[in-house]
Amino acid sequence: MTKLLQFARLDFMTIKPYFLGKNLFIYLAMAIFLSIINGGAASGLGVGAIIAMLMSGHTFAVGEKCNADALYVTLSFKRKQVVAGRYMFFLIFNVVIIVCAVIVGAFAGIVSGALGMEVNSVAIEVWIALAAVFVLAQAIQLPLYFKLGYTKARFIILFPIVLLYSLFFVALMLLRDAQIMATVTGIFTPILNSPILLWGSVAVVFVLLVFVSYRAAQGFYGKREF
Amino acid sequence: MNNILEVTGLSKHYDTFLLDEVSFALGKGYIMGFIGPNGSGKTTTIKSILGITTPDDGRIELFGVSDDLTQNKRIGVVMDTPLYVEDWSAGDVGAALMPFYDNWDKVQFKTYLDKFGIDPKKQVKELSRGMRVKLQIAVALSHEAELLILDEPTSGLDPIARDEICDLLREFVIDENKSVFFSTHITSDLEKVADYITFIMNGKIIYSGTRDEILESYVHVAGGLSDLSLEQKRLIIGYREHGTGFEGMLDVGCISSMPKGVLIEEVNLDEIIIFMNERGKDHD
Repeated sequence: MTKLLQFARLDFMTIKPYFLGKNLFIYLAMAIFLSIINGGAASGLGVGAIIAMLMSGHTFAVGEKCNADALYVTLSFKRKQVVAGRYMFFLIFNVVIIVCAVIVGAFAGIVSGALGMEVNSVAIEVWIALAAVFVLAQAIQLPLYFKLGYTKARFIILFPIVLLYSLFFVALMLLRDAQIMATVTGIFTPILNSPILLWGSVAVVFVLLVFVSYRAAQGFYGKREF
Repeated sequence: MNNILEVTGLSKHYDTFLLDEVSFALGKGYIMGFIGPNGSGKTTTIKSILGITTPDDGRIELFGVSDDLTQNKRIGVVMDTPLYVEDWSAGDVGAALMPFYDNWDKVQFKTYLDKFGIDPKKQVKELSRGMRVKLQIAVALSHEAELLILDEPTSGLDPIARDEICDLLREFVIDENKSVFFSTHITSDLEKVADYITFIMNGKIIYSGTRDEILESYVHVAGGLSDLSLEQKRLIIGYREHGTGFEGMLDVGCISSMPKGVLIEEVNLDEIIIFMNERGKDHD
């Protein structure tokens, strides 16, 4: 565990020079502005999600430039520890982003209220759905970066996301068919009606997704030559 | 255990290159120069020693242990381009690497930065090539590395900077438990500091032994075009003709086979590489 935390710290050090005050200010201002004009906090998390997605590529981009993969070996990191450490870094990073988004959202809600604007309280489900989108994006991106490196991966990084969106729209089209809709409703109604079953299913799907992503990344990185 | 590094039968196959059964050993307290033309396998060997590349075959022992990545903590690595984030300051480099070494000496690092004239606030990308090499040496010395592995550290440096780095290496091995493995194609540096030479060409070790032995094993030979018979020409390594005569390198054991009148002189490491390379081409 110490090794993984050390790696997560090294990852933070890698991107630290790019966390300039003015960049953070722009992101923060953007999150607050979007949250206020939307009268709610969800936009704050949206901006957070964008930052998280941008940053997931940044560690690889900076690392590729300075041949950090070789540095990790000289620091006695095994390849499995590099992958585990990076996932650990993003776990910590995502938690920090969500906490910041909650604070920005709350602040935006107060400002919107003070300005006499309508304040839309955001349901926990919306927060989870938004958080899920960026976890999903990272789960797809990370193994690709580990397999191809930043330069090659960035050209295809959007393909799986586009594919997911396409599948989503195909699913929506299919659901227009009454018979399919009835079948799907039949499967999902018991889950939707039971909060335990619902959140349990969501948790299982995401743990499974991150696990598959993690194992794929380990497999890819284990075979890479640098 | 007297060898700090022992490489036995190291092989690595690429589509266009084969590192073929590389073997050599480096004892404690010595500097070994690793020489060879560009593309001869120096960097692949170094990457294999450090575990950056996985060899297809062979055994690498560091500090008497094989297949143990944790031994890398006892090594100071100096590459031609540092493995540090370019936007890190010299101070950031220390802060980033400090947690990975149990015996990191913060004060020592600062002392070395001062000694080498490196401003801790200066970014890696702002440092000159020589300063970047010195920064890597400062890191190595601050975690009390027992083995320094340097990959072309002096290429592209002016003679003064090269001399300073050679001095640092000499100081490093004053402690007889420490060693240096130094890859370069600037052989004049090695003639100043190396105790041992390992010479690699086309992925194969041509020689591994003391510097004096390799220099005493060959001589430079030159003469007129009509001086040599065909049989004598065959003895000359890297034989080449020019307008007024020929030149090449000769095994000292063959000196007596040469006719009177040919000029026989000492060779230097550069000439050994050049003539061996010529012989390699002739064999191809």
